[in-house]
Amino acid sequence: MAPDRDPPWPRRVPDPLGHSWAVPVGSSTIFVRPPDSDREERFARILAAADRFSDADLLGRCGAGDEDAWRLLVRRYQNLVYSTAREVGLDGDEAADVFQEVWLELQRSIPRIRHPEAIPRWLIVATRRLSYKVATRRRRLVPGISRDLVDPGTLPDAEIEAKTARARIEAALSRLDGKCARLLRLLFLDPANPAYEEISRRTGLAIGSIGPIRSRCLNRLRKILEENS
Amino acid sequence: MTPAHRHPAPDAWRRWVEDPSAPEAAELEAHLARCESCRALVDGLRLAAPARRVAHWEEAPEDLVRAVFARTAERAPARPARTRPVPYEPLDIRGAAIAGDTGTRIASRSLEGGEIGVFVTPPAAEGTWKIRGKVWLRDEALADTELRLVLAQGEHVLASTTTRSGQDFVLEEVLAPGWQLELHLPTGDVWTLEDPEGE
Repeated sequence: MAPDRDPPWPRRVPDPLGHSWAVPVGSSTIFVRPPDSDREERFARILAAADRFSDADLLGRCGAGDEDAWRLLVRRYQNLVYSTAREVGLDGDEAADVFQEVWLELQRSIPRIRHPEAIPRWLIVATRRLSYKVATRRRRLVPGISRDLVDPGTLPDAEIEAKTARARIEAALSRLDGKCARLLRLLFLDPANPAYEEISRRTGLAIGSIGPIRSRCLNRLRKILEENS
Repeated sequence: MTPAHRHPAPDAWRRWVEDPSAPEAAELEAHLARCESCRALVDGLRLAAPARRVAHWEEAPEDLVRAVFARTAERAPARPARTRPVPYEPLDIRGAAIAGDTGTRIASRSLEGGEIGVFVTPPAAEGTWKIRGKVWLRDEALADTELRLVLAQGEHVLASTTTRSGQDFVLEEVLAPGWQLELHLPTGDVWTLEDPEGE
């Protein structure tokens, strides 16, 4: 019986994304999906490994045609894009339009992105400009929607840093169990700064147990963040 | 001094993390030195401090994300074009402002293989700019070839469309100074025309 081996072409490569096939094309390589894979199951495995990939890794793979890398990139920053559109004053329908347009713009812009490590900035710049476009297309006067949104030079570095940090911490929270994530959000991210009595009411935890649970959850969060960095 | 069993309120810690020179700093620091539980709280506050500066955070609806996957799967991811930038020859010809108060400007370039010219009209008030233009190729063999136009700004491709030699094209987009209009020819050459206002 012939040994079980990968087909000579395309060849299967060791790849933490799962089972991509690397296909040499000229001097570069594209990654394709094997024809018999179970799409959903495979993507769940990929998601579990997502944190091993930097933005630059993912963008490089997207540029080579890897659809799974594209999905991971969208997942990583979907809330950053949506939040930015809502933050400038768009309603849900308008933010939905902007959300679609931003990702389409990214898809066609990938070959010219020279600073993949700055992808959060790229996304915020595109979201602000497209928010202005959608708002003016609908002839709406929205407080906060000004022409400044179009000019990347008006985007403060502090805003980029804060949103990048938030996206990073939210990605880590999404890997915690629901109880931990909810508690940490209430304690550390909720702008209303709820009191312990309110946190107890909303989480069902006794006030006296919030401290010890908080410590355990924080340790897990910190571990995930360290792994990701 | 705050007794170890009476912890400062979380709001006090939050203020101190955001502003270590707060008036109660000395008292808080003294308490922190002997309170493990408070150190854990402060660790969390410090960890979350940059993320807390976000004014608004909201999860994208799942159906929206799935719609993006569906739309983007229809198109192959953009692949790097093999392009060969073309030097300008002869020197650029650029129009001065025309049409007076409307702010419309023209820009045109004559190149070895043909010409490109555009009218750039700013929005009447707030809104989109209109770029109307035409391309003429000297090589008659390319007369019916589809040509790709790309409107870009730095690392962003704002819009693209197709045209043919001798046909009008129109692009309408929200723009900031510094945009570029590229004409991608089948030969791999790219003619680039920069924002006349940005020069």
